[in-house]
Amino acid sequence: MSFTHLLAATVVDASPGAGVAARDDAAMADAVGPALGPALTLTVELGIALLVVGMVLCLYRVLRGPELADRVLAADVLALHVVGLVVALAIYLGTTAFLDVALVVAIIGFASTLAFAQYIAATGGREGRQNW
Amino acid sequence: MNVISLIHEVLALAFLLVGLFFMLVGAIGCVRLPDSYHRLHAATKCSTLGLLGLLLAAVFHFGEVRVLATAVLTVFFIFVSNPVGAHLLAKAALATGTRQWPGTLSDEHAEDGKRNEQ
Repeated sequence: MSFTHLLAATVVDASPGAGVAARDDAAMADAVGPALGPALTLTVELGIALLVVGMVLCLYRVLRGPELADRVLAADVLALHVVGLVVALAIYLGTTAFLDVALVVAIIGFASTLAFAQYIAATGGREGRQNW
Repeated sequence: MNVISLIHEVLALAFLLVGLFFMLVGAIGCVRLPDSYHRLHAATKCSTLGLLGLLLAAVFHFGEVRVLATAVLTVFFIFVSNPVGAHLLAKAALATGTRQWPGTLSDEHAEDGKRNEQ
């Protein structure tokens, strides 16, 4: 019993006359797209765990990084991990709408990296300097 | 399950594994490498390739034109933006005098500067 089945079950319960098996299948195909095979389900679950581990590693570098450039770089990689996590979740839940979110997160991550690179170049990397 | 959807699932699985491997290598490199320039080298390239793998897995799993269009757009944007961001960060780090790892073998930027002074 994976999360996709739970999701499909709630959708089916909400629709009127949900007891029929044929309509059950149709609603499931509507709601969750192609069904996951067991190997793919396991890999996507493992992948979400691995991406979270990678995000923790990046967070360590954000907190620790000796230079400001290290922190910005780690935040950029963190944003890309969020993009990967959104894509993995889209596969896991069978929802194609999440892929647009991935594009938006990628754009915002790039914009923040550019802004921080300009900030470092302008301030000389010294945090808290007044005249810039 | 017919043959086409089996092939799609196997391809999705393979690309997913490749993408996850590169994302994890990028994160580990971001933590383990000795200075800012080394970390830039590991992080940007690995996460670019890793996201390509993950998005290709999504394309093969869903098998829809709409997903393909979104994935191509995202991959194109990442392939353009990631090197630009890394280049600007490296330039900013170099301009502010970020120290290099003592074991760095060659510094072509500093050599160019000396040649211009002569």
